Amino acid sequence: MTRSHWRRLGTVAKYGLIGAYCVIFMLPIYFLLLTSIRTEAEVFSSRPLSPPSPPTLDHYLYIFSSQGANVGRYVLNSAVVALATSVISLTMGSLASYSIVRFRFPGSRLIAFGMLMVRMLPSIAVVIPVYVLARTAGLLNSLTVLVISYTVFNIPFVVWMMRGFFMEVPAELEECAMIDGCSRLGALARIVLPLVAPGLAATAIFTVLGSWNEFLLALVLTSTQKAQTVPVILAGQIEQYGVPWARISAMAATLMLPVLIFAMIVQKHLIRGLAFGAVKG
Amino acid sequence: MPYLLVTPALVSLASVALFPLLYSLRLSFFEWSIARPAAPAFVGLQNYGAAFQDERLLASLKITFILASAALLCEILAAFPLALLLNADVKGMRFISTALISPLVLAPVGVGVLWRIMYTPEFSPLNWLIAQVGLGAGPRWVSDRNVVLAAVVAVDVWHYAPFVMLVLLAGLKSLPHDPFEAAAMDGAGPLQAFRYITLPLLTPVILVVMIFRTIGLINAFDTVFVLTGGGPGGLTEIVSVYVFKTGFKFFDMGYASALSYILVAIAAVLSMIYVLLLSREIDM
Repeated sequence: MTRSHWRRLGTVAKYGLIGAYCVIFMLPIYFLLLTSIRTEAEVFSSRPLSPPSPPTLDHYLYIFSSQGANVGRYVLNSAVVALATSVISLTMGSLASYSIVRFRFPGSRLIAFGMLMVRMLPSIAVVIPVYVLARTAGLLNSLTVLVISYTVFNIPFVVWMMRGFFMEVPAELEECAMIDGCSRLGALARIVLPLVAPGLAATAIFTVLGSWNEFLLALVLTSTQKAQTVPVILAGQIEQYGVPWARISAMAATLMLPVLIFAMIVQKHLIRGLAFGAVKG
Repeated sequence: MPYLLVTPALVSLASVALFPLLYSLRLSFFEWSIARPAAPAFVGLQNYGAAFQDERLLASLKITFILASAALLCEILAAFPLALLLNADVKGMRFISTALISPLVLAPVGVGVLWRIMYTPEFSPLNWLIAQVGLGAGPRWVSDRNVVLAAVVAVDVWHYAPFVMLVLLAGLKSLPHDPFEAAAMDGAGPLQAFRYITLPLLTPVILVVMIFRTIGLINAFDTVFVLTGGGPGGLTEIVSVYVFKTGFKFFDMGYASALSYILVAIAAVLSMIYVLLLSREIDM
C-alpha cells in the first residue's frame, strides 16, 4: 500500500468513527420524534426505525388541546419563568460581577469561588428548606416562587461566568471614556457592555436552558397547571399505568425540540461558554 | 456605589448558600412529619444517629458511588478519543457539533423519559437490533436487575459525554505547539507525544471536568427518578432519590434534612479534595 492509500484509509476510519458517534448521539432523539408521530398501535407493531405510515399529528393536537393535556399552558409557564429569571439574574449578576472585578473587593477571589461552590450544592438539599419556606410564606404553586428560587440560584453562576469576561476588558478603556466626560455607568453601558456581549450571550443561554429544564424545584413547589412547568407535567405522565407511549413522546418532544433548535442556532456561543467555564475559569 | 451593585448578588449568594443550609441544619435537629398536624419536636442528634444505622441510606450511598464512578470513567473514555479525533482539521464541523451537543442541552427529565421509551423492550430499536443480529430478544433493561445499573450508566454517558468531549477539545486546542514540534524533531511517535506531553499538560482540564461531573453525578436526581424511580427493588436508589422519598413521600422532613446534610458534607469533601489537587496542578 502506498502512503496515500494509508492516508485515505485513515481518513475513512476517522470520519467513520466520528460518524458513529454522531449516530449514537442522535439516534435516540430521532426515535423519540418518530414515535411521537406514530399511532399508538403502530408503536408496537412496526420496525422501530422505519418511517410511520401513515404519520399522525394527533398526539400533538391532543396534548395541546384544552380538553387534552393543555400543554400550551405549561409551555407558557416555563417560558415566562425562564425569561424573567434570565433577565433578572443577568442584570443583577453582571452588575455585581463588574463591581467585584473593577472595584477590587477584598476577598473577591473568595467571593467568586463561593459563587462557584453554590452551583455545586445538591439540589435535594436546597429543595427541602425552600419548600418549607415557600409553604410558610404562602407562595407555593405560583410562578413567582419559581422565578425567585431560580434567580437566586442563577445569580452566583452569572457572577462567576461574567467575571472572566469582565477581566478581559482593560480598565483603561473606561478611564479614557470617563476622562472624556462619561459617567461610570455610561462607560459601562457604552464601552464594556458591547465588549462582553458574547459572554452575556453565553451566560444567557445557560440561564434560559437551566430554567426551562429544571425539574426538582418545580415538582416540589408547584401542584396545578397554574404554575407547573413542562418538565413536571412530562414526568407526571410516566406514573400512570397503561402508558400511552406515542403521546408521551409528543410531550417529551415539546419539551426538547425547542431546546434542540435553539441550541443549533446558538451553538457557537454555547460551546464557547462551556469551554470557557471549564478551561479558563 | 460599588456596594449597591454587589449587594443583590451577595444577598442571593447568602440566600442560596447559607440560608437553606442553616435552615436545613436546624430542621435536621427536629422530628417533623409534615403530614401530621403535630408541631416539630426537637430531637437533637437523633436523626443523625438513626442515619448512621440506616441500611437503606448505606445502600443508596454505595449505589451512588458505584454509578458515579462508572459513569465518570465511561464518560471520559468515550469522550477522549472523540476529542482527539476532532482536534485535527475536520470538515463539516458545524453539522458534527450540532449532532454532538444535542444530548447535552436536553432536560435531564426529558432524557429520562426518552430513555424510558428507548428501554421498553417491546418496541426498542436496541432490542430490535439485538434480535436482528440473532442474539435473542435482548434484555429488559430497566426491569432487569442484572442490566439496570449498566443501563443507567449508559444513559448518563450518552447525556454528558459530549460535555466532557467539548471541554477536552477546548483544552486540546489551547495546548502550545512548541513541545509537540520539539518532540517530533526528537523522533517521538504520536503515542509517546500523547503520553508525555498531551496528558500532563491536559491534567488541569481533566481535573476540572472531573469536578464538574462528580458533583453533577452526586446531585443527579431527575433522570434516575423518571427512568427507574429507584427500582427495580431499590437497585438504583441513589441518595437523592432516597432523600426525596423520605421528605416528600413519607413526609419525614427532619430526617430528610439530616440525610441531605450528609450528602452536602460528602459533596463538600469531594470538592475540596479536587480543588486541592487542582491548585497543586496549576501552581506548578
